[in-house]
Amino acid sequence: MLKGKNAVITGSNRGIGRATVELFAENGANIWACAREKNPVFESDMKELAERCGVWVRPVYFDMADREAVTKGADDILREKLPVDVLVNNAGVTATALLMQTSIEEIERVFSINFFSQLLLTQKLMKRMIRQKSGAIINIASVKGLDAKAGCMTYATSKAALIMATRVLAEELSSFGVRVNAVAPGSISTDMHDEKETSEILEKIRSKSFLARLGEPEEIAWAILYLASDISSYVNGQVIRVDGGFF
Amino acid sequence: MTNLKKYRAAFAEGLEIDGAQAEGASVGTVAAWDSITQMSLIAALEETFEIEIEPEDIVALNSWENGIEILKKYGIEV
Repeated sequence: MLKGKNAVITGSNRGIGRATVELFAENGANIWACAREKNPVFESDMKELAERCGVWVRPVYFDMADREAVTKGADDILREKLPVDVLVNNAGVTATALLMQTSIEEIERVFSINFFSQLLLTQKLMKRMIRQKSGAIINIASVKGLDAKAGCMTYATSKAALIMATRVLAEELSSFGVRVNAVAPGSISTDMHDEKETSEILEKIRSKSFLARLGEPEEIAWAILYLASDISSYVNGQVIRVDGGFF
Repeated sequence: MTNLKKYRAAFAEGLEIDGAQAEGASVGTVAAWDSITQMSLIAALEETFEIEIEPEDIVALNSWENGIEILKKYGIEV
């Protein structure tokens, strides 16, 4: 589905990002696999995946909390003078607390990673897409950016901002053949999730899911693949919920 | 290729006009020059000259002539 296309995926080392890298590679995409820190296990994992799928997978390291590093990472990718066909803005952080319990500095930190750095990376890479007159940008949002829930102020508003940015940018880039969409995952079984939630909370989440379980990262990766591929050529400015049904 | 030729090619590509029409072009003379085509022009100029144009210069760019002045700020002589 992505044969010969080049994709940039942030947060590639685990969870949804790792699953997306694998699915994209299996579908013929070459990948700049972005992660925060250099790690030999990740390097060999990406090398193995590339060899197995007959594509190239190049690790690129930058911290989304550091705007200079994001700029440098984007410049390193652009310097290769290759088409950038797909950008998956996946890296992010979670935050759970009531507004009363949250400092403005913490909100700024989360927005910096979940929103401003995503826009910065997009701003840099979309210029290549504009010249190409083609591209697909997929922002990984969250159902928490769509549904109001106490205790999610910081994370939810950062994702809601990303959702609106998706819609606005979809219109701004539409005349260049660049589509911009978002995936809003529900509760997914990832390290990031499992680290933060107690087993009691996870059980509560399961009990509220129509499917009575958490989602798997691969189930989100399929939605991302759909939006990245030409199969979704008439889908633009949309947010696809992938939450198994939830009440 | 000289900087003038590169500049002309980037202008023509960005605004989707003929190279011969690029010289002297401005927002007032190119009907298609709007904020959307401007993005294409900026992308072409940035990649051609390997620079990153600041937002205030992106807003200010409205003619062939002032584009040359703006590029000087980035060390590019056309």
